[in-house]
Amino acid sequence: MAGYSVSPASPASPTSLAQPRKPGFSFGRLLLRIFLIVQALAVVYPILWNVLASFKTNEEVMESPWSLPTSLQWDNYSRAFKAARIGDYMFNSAFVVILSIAILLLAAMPTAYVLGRMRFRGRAFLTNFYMAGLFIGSVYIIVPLFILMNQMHMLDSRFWLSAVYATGTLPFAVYLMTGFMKAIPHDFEEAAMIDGCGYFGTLFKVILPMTRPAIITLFVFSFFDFWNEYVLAMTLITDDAKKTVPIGLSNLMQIQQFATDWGSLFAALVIVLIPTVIVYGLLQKKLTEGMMMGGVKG
Amino acid sequence: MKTRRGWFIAACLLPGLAMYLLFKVYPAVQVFQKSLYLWTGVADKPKFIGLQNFRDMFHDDAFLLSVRNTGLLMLVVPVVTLLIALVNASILTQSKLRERGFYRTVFFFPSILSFVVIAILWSFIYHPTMGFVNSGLEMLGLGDWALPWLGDQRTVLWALAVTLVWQAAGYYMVMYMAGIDSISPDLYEAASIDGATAFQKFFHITVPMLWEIIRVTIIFSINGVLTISFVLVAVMTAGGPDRHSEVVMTYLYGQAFTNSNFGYAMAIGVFIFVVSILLAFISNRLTQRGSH
Amino acid sequence: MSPKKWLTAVGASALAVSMLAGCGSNGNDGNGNANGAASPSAGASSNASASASADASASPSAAGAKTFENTELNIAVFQGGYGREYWDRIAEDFMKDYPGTKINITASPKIAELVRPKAVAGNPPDFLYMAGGDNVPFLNGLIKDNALLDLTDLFNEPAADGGAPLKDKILPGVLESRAMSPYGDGKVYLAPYNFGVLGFWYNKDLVDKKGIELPKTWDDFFAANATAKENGRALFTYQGLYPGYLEQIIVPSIYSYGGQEALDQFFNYDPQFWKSETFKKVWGILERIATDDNALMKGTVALNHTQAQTSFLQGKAMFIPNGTWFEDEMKDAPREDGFQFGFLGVPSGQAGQPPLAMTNVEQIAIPAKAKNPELAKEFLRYLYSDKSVQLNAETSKGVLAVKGAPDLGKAFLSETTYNVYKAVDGGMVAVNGTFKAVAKGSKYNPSDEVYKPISSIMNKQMTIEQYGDKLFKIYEDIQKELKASGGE
Repeated sequence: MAGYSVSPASPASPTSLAQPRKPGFSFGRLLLRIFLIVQALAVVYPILWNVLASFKTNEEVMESPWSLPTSLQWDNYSRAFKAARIGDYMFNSAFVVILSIAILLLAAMPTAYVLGRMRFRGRAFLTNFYMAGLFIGSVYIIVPLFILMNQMHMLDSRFWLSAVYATGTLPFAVYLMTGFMKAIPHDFEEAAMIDGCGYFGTLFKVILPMTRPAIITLFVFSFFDFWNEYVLAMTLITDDAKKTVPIGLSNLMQIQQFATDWGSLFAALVIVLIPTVIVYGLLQKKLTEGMMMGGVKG
Repeated sequence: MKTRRGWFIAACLLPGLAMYLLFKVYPAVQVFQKSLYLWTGVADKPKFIGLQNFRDMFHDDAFLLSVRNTGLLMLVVPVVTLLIALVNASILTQSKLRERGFYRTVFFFPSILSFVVIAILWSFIYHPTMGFVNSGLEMLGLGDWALPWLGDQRTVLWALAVTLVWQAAGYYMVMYMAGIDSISPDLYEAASIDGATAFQKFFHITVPMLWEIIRVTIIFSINGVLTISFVLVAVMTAGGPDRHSEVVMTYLYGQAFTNSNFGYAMAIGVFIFVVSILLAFISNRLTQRGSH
Repeated sequence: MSPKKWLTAVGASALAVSMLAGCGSNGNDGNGNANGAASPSAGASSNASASASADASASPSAAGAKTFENTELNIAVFQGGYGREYWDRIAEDFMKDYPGTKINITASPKIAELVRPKAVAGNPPDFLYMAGGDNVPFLNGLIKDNALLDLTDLFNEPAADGGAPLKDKILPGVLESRAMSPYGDGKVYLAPYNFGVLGFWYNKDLVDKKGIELPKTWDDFFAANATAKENGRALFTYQGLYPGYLEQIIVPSIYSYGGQEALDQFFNYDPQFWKSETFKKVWGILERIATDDNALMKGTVALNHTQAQTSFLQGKAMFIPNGTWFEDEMKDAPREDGFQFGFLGVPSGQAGQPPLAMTNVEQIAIPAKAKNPELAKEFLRYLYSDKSVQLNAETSKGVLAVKGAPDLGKAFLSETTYNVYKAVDGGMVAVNGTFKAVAKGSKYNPSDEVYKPISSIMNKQMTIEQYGDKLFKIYEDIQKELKASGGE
């Protein structure tokens, strides 16, 4: 750690923030607050505007971005659900995200367990082999992946899309979990083995419960990755009925009848926002904890 | 016992390895191999042409422009994003404001939105007539400053950069806040007693103590820019005006799936692949500190 | 205003359908005395339409006379402004007339995305209708790869309604055009579907009420700027993010200033085109739109096609380029009070010349690897029957590229649309052309190379000299690639 330069005791400047018990008001604090409020507005206002616009008629949307809707156009929402199939897209997204995470955990946990806690020939090679995968982004390999899946008739399938998603995050997951597994003391396993748990029993009954924090971290990271993924979903799914939210929304923006129906486009955006907000509200604490772990360890 | 252990290891490794080989390793090998072929991917057999695709690449103005655009975004966006994140994290952790929880929640919010939602939202924010950037300027009597942000090659990349920063700053802020919270308060106390100002504490305690996290976030952020810029460009500008917002990813995609030049697209893939590994390596070397 | 009057307004002289660029052989001089080029009207000039209109509701007689070993047909169609209802209905009719056959339809706005995987796997659909900017490049890929079935024989055989060869039913010049005969060897590889007319649109209500004189030449056009300003609008807007729409100005104007010869240079990659006077004049129009005060609607370059078109409907600009699908496409969009669609074609280069319009014909193809080419051909033949032409007008509001189609469908077409087609009959010079196929594996997409940089001209970031130099190099490059790959 670097030392800081010790300056001769000078009177603390008014902006000094280090006086935890300094009462009430100071000019510096006011400036700080203004600085933060401006930023908060920059974040909140676009979203608020989106919500307002979702209740406006087309003419009102075009008129002025500052006006309030004269009446609530709930109609926009029913059109977003009916004509724009936003409900289907949300279902597909949820389905793909959950399935992807399930596949990811099923593949990554045992791999990490073996790489982190067992000695065998080729272990070091395999660990490095997975590490190399951290550098293979999905866009670089999109063309051969498309051709491969086409030959194997895996296109247009939500299951195979999930498998590809899971594989994309696999190197990171293996890396994160292996580090975690290494830190678990060996006594637990020995005890379990003596109790007559087999290898699998030990893994699932003893080790898995202990890796909960790592699983949560992985869940948080991959949830947002999968929920947001655009390029693979656009390339590997062609059937409109199987499209995920990102692709569905961008199509919505392009498809003719909606390009002039801004009200329902904004309504669709709000509909997509709602579950995100709920998930965020429920998991906020877990989310930031998980992020921390991924960030510091990853 | 020995064989059972062997079977167990194999059973544990197999599912992951099979997926990894099929969906990651094999396509990656294919990219390198097929980048040496002329192949339209529609109806013909690939034809070997050696390094011709790579030679073409460096004479392809559209490609070079997309490299320039991508490079600019990858330089500007991480620096600005991480700086804002650090400053906000310091303020919120050090100032002991009562409402810090509120700001933390609000600032983090954009990073959980779907990229496509953000792209659609911002294309309306920048809309020349309906958008509130321009109507705000008109209201303030600065109508002359109201540019078609996404339609002018002088502003389009900066407009996209602002959107990218807006999306990610809160995410990294939360990471840094957790990092600062784990720094021993005694350090700050001691500094205060020595009369250090907020700025001194920021540069002499916060930044050095967070250095390892900052290193990781630089890589994260560069990769994030690569991924998210694809979505933003695809939804907001279609690479326009006149390719001035085309990024390497969208160019690769267009050459493959619009122009049917599969071989050429894979050569571009190889290029990005090599460059991104080099970048990670360089950034790692640059940010390394002697004795750690 | 009656259709008749309106026709006089656009300066009806004799008809001239300019032959599509690149045909070379029948260079039409564009002065109206074309060597007997028939009109796309029902004018009973050709015996084909005389016999055809006799009994339009009769089923094609060829039915039942043929049996097909493979009775299943997979078709993939673009679902755009014309919708998909026509395809559903015509397939039903076909299955009735050919008992035992089964047609499976795949329709999507991004149909190329759906077809590509199948084509890569060597298992394409039997029948493709591709249109729209997202899909046409895929079709061009098939052309580059020589992966389409030769349809020349089909057009030499009798039509579904019997009688004369099928090619006599198609609008003159279409089958010979590069769009349908891409290799210039006289063989037809693509079949025409809807025929569109493209040019400038205006608000007819405003023009009639204020007695505004419509511009006949480019000088008139720029002079109208004052009128536009008086009426609180810009002179012009276009589909900013998609500068390709500007071909509707560029292609007719190249013809107007430089004739067929210049068009051939432009479409066949003669680099000298970019040094010519014609180039300077045509791109000078664009530069003037970019620089004249109030000429280009503010913010145009950043708008997508629907946003720009909506602004036009709301009276923010006086003219906008678009095709015959415009009215149907924007049926739900907000507009200024009393708005009425009016079509004007494209102003001409010099006084005294008739106005011009661009035409385009959508393409249908049968892949060489189709599993059931025989039935696909039979289905294609069926599309040109009078019954189908009427059904198409009724369900898609489109006009098939068949002689007499606008009149066959008159009952279903809006007055504006019908008048546009009649205007092409009544003396507008119709101009068309397609870029020659680039070499296989070329990284150039010609229309991107030509139209995308126009955004920079509109933003005043590029002079037309710089633009010309850039395109000169690109054309040289494309020529080089063609030579290297053995093309001529």
